[in-house]
Amino acid sequence: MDLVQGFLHLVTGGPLLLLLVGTFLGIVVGALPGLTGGALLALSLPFTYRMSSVDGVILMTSMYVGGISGGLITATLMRIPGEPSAVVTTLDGFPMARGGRPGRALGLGISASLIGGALSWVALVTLAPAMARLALVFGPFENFALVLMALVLIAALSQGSVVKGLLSGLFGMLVSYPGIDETSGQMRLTFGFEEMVGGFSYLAVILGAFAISQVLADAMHARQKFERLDPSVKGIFLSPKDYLGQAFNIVRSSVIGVWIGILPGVGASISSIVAYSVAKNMSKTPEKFGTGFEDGIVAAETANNANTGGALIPMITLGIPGSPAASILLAGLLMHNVQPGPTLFTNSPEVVSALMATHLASHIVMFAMMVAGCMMIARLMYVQRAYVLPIIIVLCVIGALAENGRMFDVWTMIGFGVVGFLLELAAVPLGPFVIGLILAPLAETQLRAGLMGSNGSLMPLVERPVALLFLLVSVLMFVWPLWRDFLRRRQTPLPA
Amino acid sequence: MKRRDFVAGTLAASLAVPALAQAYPDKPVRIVVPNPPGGSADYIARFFQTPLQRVLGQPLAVSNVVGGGTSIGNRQVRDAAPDGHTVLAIHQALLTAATLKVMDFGPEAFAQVAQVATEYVTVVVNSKAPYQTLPAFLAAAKAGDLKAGVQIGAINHFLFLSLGDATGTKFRYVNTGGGGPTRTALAGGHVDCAFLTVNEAKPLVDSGDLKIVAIFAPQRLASWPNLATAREQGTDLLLNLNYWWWMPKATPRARVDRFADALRIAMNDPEVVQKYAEFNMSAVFLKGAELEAEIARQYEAMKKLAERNNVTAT
Repeated sequence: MDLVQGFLHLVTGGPLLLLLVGTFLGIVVGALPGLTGGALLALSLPFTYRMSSVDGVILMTSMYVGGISGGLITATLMRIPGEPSAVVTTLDGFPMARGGRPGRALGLGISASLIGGALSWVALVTLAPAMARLALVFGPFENFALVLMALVLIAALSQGSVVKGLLSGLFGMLVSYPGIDETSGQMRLTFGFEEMVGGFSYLAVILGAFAISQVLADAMHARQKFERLDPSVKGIFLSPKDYLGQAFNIVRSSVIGVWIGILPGVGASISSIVAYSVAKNMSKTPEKFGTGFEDGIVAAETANNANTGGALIPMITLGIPGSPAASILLAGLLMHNVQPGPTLFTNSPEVVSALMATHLASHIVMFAMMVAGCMMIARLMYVQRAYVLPIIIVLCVIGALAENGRMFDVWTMIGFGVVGFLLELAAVPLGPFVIGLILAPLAETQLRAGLMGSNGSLMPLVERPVALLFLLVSVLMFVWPLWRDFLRRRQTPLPA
Repeated sequence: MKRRDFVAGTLAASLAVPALAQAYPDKPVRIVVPNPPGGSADYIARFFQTPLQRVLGQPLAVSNVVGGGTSIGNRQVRDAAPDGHTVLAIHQALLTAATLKVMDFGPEAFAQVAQVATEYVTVVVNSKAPYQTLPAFLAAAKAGDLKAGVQIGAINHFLFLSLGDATGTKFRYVNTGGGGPTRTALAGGHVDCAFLTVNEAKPLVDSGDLKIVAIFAPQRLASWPNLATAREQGTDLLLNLNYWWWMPKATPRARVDRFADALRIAMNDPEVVQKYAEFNMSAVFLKGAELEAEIARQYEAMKKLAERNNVTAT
């Protein structure tokens, strides 16, 4: 593969401009709540159609990377995720920024994004050709077991109350059900409303639950001024010691990000949620998570960028996009009649090398741009929130409307804004909600497809070695946090 | 909802007379594709975007309105102002959605503008399967239960129902989804056969994973001459995707015709010609009564198939 040529091509005039513009636009759109990198990619489709396939890939890949990365800015500084994938970055990024260290919080996020992206690039370059073969082994039962592994984290993710966590997860599943039942093609839970046939848009629901609900919460304290913060961006560059301390966290979160990325149709939001909850679960000090803990920011931001490399693997090797944003990238390729598959590497090597080179290069560009802009960005903290909130609402409405041009999605978003606000008041964690919302339909279609093939027998789930392995890991992951809590409770003597 | 539609309808009707006198189109035209980007319904709209712009002299915007098995986008165009500035681009998915009753309306709810292309489909099997020709494949299907990878209720499902109906074969359906994932399931041996377009199948045929048993076209493709047709293997059956354009029902006839004629001109644009060749699509133009008869025929056949095979909602 001519990766070197791919990189050399990137530093020539036109492609370099596309790389810079794409990454920059991605970051801006990623940082703005409501507007997502996916929407930007969709908007750029007509332009890439007029370009060569290589130029189109450069522009779209850099937008993809920039979009995923930009989300951390608003998540850290305003507790409003600019991108659904930055949802858990709010948990520790915001407390740290508010505690007077916005520079450090941004620096951690930006560096983690770069490293997560770079590690996933290594996976992309080395694993992609092999994965194309390996992935063929994965049938519906294997896919189901693989999704189950992530789904059981609902229990692990429940901060505080396991019951509330499960409730939130089940509620997420329920929200995912209305619409067309994928497996029978029939409508379900639409209650006769025409608009419900399409179900609830994930984007609208997540925008509502995380952005609108936060705006509502903020509006209650709009007059309250932020305490004066340390204006320096000290600590934006991490020391080697920082990296060393986070090394294991970074590697683990990258692996999780790549794995979730490879799963079809699961976006970066799930990978950061999973990485965060695993980091918390394995930590010696789980109680520090959520208070502005460095490990939390690093886990979330490593994983969502690692997701990009993972999502591109099945996209180029099988034509199955690993995330919603990757599916638009795929559309851009298909329009040029660049057909993904094992033969892509021989038929269109220039597209493959452009994609791989851009994936890494735009991470580096992203890092440079965000570090350079950090001082300016951090000032957002001082802006009167009362001025910002209406703008955020407008952006969210535009974002929800832009996806499908439907007012229904806007109402969905507002409705779930209220729901999310109420859930937060009741201290119900929203992480399990997102997991249930996105993974339940996937688990359902895969399991039902498997059952259709096996004539209704569940046996392949334990007969097929790969499926069995994942199933066992799922059971372990489900039981472990409950068991640990049980042990802990036994150790602490009950008050007499 | 209903009242607003009524108001919009009367408003448009009252404006219709002066509007007719004006040049059409007099503002940007919105093309609604009820499928996500990357599907064939999507790129046909994009192939035409620039050439049509040149013919019509107005900008065209393609917007994907996704969900509900195309019903959301279909409904949006049905309810749009009937002034010719909102156009729907979709193939038989509109008919399957209506047949499955995920929409309470069918092709009759639209002004049917034109057909611009036909894409013949292929039956594909794993290259390790013992049946590599159509007769051997059909014999295997009759003997045992072959697993067919489809998206239940979508066109790739109805193509199997048509094949089964014409040849007396039955398949066990596994919901693998659209072209990409179905092709992977087939290569991995999780299903036994699938309907794919030529371009969907090609990369995995080239890599030696899959084998095309037959293309259901009237004659062999110039671009792939050793691909045997079903007809020459003893099954006289044509199966294809038809790319259709639609407008709201009450759109003035003159505007429907103007758009149809623009499509016909754009079909000869070198850009479109080249894309058709790349994607192995055949230029087949239909409009007016001919088109309506063809759509009605396919819709009736589909409804009968669904009824016989129990796929319709009860």
